[in-house]
Amino acid sequence: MNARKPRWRRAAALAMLLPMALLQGCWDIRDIDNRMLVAVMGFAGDDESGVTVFLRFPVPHSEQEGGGAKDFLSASQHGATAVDALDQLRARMPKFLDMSQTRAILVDRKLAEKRGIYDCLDFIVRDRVMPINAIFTLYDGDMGALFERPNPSGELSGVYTRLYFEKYAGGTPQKNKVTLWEVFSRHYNPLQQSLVPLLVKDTSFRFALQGNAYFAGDKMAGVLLPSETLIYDLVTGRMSPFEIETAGGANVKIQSSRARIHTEWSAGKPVIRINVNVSMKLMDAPHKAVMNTSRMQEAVDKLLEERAARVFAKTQAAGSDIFGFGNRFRSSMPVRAYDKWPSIYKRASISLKVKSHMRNEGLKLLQD
Amino acid sequence: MSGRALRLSETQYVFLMLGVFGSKSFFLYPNLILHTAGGSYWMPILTGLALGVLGAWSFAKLLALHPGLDAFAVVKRSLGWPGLLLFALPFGWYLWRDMMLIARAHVEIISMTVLHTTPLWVLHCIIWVALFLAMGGIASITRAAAVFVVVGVPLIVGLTLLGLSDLQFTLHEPLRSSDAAYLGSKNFYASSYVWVGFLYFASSAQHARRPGRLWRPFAAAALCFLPIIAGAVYLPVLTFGVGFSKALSFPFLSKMDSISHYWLVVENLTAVFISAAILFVILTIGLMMHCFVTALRTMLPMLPGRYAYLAVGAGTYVSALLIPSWKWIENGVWMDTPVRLYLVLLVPLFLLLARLRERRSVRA
Repeated sequence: MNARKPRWRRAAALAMLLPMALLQGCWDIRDIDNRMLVAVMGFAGDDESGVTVFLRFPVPHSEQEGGGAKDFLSASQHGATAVDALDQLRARMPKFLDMSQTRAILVDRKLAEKRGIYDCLDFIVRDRVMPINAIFTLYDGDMGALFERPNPSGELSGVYTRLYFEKYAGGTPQKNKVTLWEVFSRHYNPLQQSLVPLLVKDTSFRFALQGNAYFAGDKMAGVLLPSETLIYDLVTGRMSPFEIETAGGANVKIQSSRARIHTEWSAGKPVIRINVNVSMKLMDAPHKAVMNTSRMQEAVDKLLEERAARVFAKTQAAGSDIFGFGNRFRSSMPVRAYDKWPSIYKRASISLKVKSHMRNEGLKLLQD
Repeated sequence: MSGRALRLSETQYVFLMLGVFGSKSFFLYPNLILHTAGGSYWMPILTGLALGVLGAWSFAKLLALHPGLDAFAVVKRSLGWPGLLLFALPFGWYLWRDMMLIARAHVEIISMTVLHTTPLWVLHCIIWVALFLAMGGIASITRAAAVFVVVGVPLIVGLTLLGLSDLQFTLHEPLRSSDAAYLGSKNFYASSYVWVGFLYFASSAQHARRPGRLWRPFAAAALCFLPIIAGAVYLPVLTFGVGFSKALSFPFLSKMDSISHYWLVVENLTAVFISAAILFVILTIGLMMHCFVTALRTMLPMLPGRYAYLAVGAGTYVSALLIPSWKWIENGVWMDTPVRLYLVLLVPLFLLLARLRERRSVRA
C-alpha cells in the first residue's frame, strides 16, 4: 500500500502538470514568415460614408538581392468603416495582417475637418490590435502617393515616421509628438482639445511640417503655425531646447522653461494668468547691431508675448482649449457644465507674461 | 514536515496575503472605484483598507479562542454545529464563486489582450495548476507564495513605477477633494472583495504561533499593496483623464500599453504584468481550494481529501468555463457582496456569542 502511494502521487502530479503544456499559447503562434507587419497606416475619407485605409509593410531583403529592390509594399482598401476595409484587405492578403507593430497613423486632413477622426479609430482601443502609443498625425495631400513614395533616407516607413517626431531623433518642439492615447484621452475630455501635427509632402524628405491642427470636439478647427506651437510647448511644459530668432536679428536657444498658471473666476468668466520663466543661451549675434543681454531678453519676452496673444485669439475663436486650462477649473464647475467649457473658453481672459534669462552666451563673449 | 508540526511565521502570512492582493487588485477593482459616486477615489480605497483591517482583527480574535485549530474547527468547538453551518456553508459558497470569478476574469483578460485565439478551456487549465498546489497542503502553498511574491511583486512594483510617466495632475483636480457620496454607491460595496482576503487564513490559522495577531500580516500586506492599488486607480486617471479611464474595461492595462520610452527594452509591458498577475491568481485559487476542502472536511470528516480536492477542482473548472460573458463576472462580484458582508459581519457576532458562552460555562 505504502509503495503504491508515491506512485499514485507521481501519476497525479504528472496528470495535473500536463495541462501546463497547453498553456504555451500555441493557438496564437504565427511565425514571422507568415505575417505582414504594418509599419504605418493611413485613413482617408473620399466620400461621406466610406473610409479608405492605406497600409505600408516593410519587405526585408537579403544583401544578395541588391539594394535596388523595393523595401516596402503598399496596399489600400475602401470600406464602409475602417474595420470593414481591413476585413476586405484580409481577403486579398496572402499572410496574416499584423497591426501590433504599427508605429504611426496618418489621417487625411479633409476627413479630420469634415467628419472627425474618432469614428475610424474606435476599433483600436476596443480590440487592442494596435499599440495605443503609436504616433498620430494628419496629412494634407494625396495619401495614396505618400504611401507609394520611397523614403529618401532608406528608413522603414513606420520607423521613419516615428523618428521624425521623437525627441531622441528628429523631433523638435514644433513637431509636437502626439500618440493615439492622447487623442482618445482628449476625445473623452471636454475640458481639453487635441493639438495634432499636420504634415505635407516635402521635395527632399518624405514630408514636412505645415503646422499643428487644433480640434474643436472631434473635428479639426484650424492650424497653428510651427512657430506658434512654441507657445503651446511653453504653457504645457513640453519645451525642449529650441532656437528662435529675436527682433534684433540675434538667435537664441531656449534651453528650458517653466510656466506658472493661475486661474480664477471673475464676473462669471475664467481668468487665466500665465507667467513663464525662460532660460536661454545665445547662439548667434549680428555684428552690425549693437546688442546686449538685457535688450535681447526684452526682445524675446516681447516676441513670445505677441505670439502667445495670437495663439490664444486663434484657439479661443474656435473654442479649442488645447492647453487644458479647463482641467484647472474642474473642481469649480459642476460635472454637467464640462460640456459647455468650449464656449466658456471663448470668453476667457488669458494673459501670458514671459521673463527670459540669458543663462550664457556660448563660448564667445557677446561684446568682444 | 507534518502538517501538525508546521509553524508559519508572520512573514509567510504576509506573503500569502500579498499574493491574494496581487490576484484581486487589478481585474475589476480600478473600474469599480472609478465608477463610485463622488470622484474622490482615495476615500473608498482607504475606507476599504480600514474596514478590511478591522475585519481581520475581529477574525484573528475569533481564531485566538482555540489556538492550534483552523477557523472551522474553532467555530464548531465554540458554537457547535449551528455555528459551523452558519459560517461554513456561506463561506464555501463564496469561495466557490470567488474561485470561478477570479479564474474566469483573468482568463478573459488574457484572451482580450495576449492570446486572442487560444480556446478558453485551455486557458482555464490554470485551475488545475492551482489544484496541484492546493493538494500539496499549506506548506506547499506558503513556499510557492514566497517564490511567487519574490518574482511577481518586484515586477508589479517596477511596472507601477514606470506608470509614473506621462502624468498630468490637472486631469484630476483637486486630488484631495473629499466627497462621501461613494458610501451610497453599490460599486463601493462590490469593491470590498479586495479587502476580505483575511478570510482565507481560515484553513491555515492553526499553524500560527499567535493566531490572535494574524490581523497584523493582513494589515502589513494591505499597506504594502496600497500604493500599487492606488496606482492601479490613479495612474490611468492622471494619464488619460477620468472620462477615458471610465470608458476602459482595464484602465491599468491600457496605461501599461501607453508607456513608451526609448530606453525601455520590453515593448509589451501588458504581457509582463499579466504574467506576474497570473502567478498570484494560481496562488490565491490554490489557497481558496485549500480553505474549501478544509471546510468540507470539517463538516464531513470521512470525506477523503484527495477526492475532495479533485471534485473542487473539477467543479471550479466547469463552472468557470460556463460563465457566459464579462458582464456576468461584473454582476457576479456585485451579487456576491451580500454573502461577503455577511461573512465579515458574522465574525464579530460569533466572537461575542463565543465569549458569552465561555462566561456562562465558567459561572456554571
